[in-house]
Amino acid sequence: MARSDNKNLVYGEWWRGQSGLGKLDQNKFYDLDNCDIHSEVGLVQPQLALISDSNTPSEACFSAIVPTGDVYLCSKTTGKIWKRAVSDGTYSLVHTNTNTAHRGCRYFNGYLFYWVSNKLGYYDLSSTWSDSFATFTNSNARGAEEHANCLYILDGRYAARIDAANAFSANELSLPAQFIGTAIKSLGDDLLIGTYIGTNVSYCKVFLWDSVNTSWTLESEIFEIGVNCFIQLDGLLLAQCGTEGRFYYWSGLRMKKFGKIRGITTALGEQMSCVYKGRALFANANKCYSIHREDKDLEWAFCKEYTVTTGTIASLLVQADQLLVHRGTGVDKVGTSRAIATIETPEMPRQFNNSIVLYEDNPSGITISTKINNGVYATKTPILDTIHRTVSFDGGEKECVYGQAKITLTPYSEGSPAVEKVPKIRLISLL
Amino acid sequence: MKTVYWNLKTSPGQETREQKKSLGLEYVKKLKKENEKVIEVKEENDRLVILLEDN
Repeated sequence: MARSDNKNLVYGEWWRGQSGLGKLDQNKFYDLDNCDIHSEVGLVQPQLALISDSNTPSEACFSAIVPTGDVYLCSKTTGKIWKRAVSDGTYSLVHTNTNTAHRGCRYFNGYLFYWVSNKLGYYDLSSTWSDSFATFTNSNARGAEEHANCLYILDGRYAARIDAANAFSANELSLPAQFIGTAIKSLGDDLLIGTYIGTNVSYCKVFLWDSVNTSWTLESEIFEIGVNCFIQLDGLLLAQCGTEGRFYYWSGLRMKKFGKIRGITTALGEQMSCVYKGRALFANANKCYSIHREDKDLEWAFCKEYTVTTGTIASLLVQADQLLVHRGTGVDKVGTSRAIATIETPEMPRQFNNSIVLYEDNPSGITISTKINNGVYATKTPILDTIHRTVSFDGGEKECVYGQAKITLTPYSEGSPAVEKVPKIRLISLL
Repeated sequence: MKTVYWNLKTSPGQETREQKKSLGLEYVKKLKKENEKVIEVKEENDRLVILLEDN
């Protein structure tokens, strides 16, 4: 990524995203936070900020959308079920499941199905709630997927099925006894099933199943504690696995390494991914990461795009063109103002005296910090050159052996009535 | 009345049909323990058909 002209290192290929390898990886950025790197190739600007849609539900929830566009949110800790009405965006408590803490929910075949570890319930979207429609054998229900006009729900080593006549079958697939199904995804004629064995066992498997036979077709070992969730990219299925942010992809025969989000802790989490405006999103802690490329000839890029207003993300759902991020104490959505974005360059492996930012728009919102010799970031006084369209600082990093630059893009208001000014940059040059 | 199915189909390397049937009957016991009213359990082709009272 870094172009060198013997004197400068130039970083401007934003579409490559952030590095999973560390600060010495010169091919990607060390960190991108709240950044929009895909709207215009070659430019970066702050992403739209999340704002609160509601402070209800106040409990971490799974969510499901039904054909009208209404969204149902099922608490992960109690039996409460809320509805977000598509008509006016208001939230209301509509039911309390007597079986308490939910493990998932999904619309299928005219019904909202919701389940706890041992019981499956349904709502007919009219008047009837049936909390104990069926009983799971292993009392370990988790991920679910619609496939071939059936809804499959993983339950320990089994996959249960609800068919188009709403008949429940408890054990359509039997995995070896030690495997516990976590996530399931439709893949052509087949289903791909992710598993774990236990939190102290450092390998797991995915199983490819044709959904007809009681046994599976292919299996592939992954040396991680478990499959946490699947993420659908354009023509590529990822599995987020283990505790350290690693991603694998289904090659057609086996799982292979895809990449890593550095510095995060990952765990089991159905509904921690979605596809929003063509971009696959993955949620972790208080951040939404995109895993995306805007064109087939570009490489896949990780980028931290959204930060919730408060709390920890419990589930993601897209309703029409709106992203709904459930954050445990309410729901956030994408607003119309931009967030504050930060960009950290790789560490330049030799002395540099200055960072020059070539800007596209609104340079008043650009600030530069530098970190030399693995120290701490120090903010520099920006120097604006409107002729050459640069923001820089007065050099003088004389003790520098190696160092990094951090650029902050802060949207601001100007004029009356106030108009939001969004800083946008082309490249960063370290020289 | 509602119907729940228990699959008895086997594959190489898996439990035998008899073992699967035994697991199915364990499942019926679990249903009863959880206050489901079991009306009938019958074997039809490759599955156990468990008829339950609607709750």
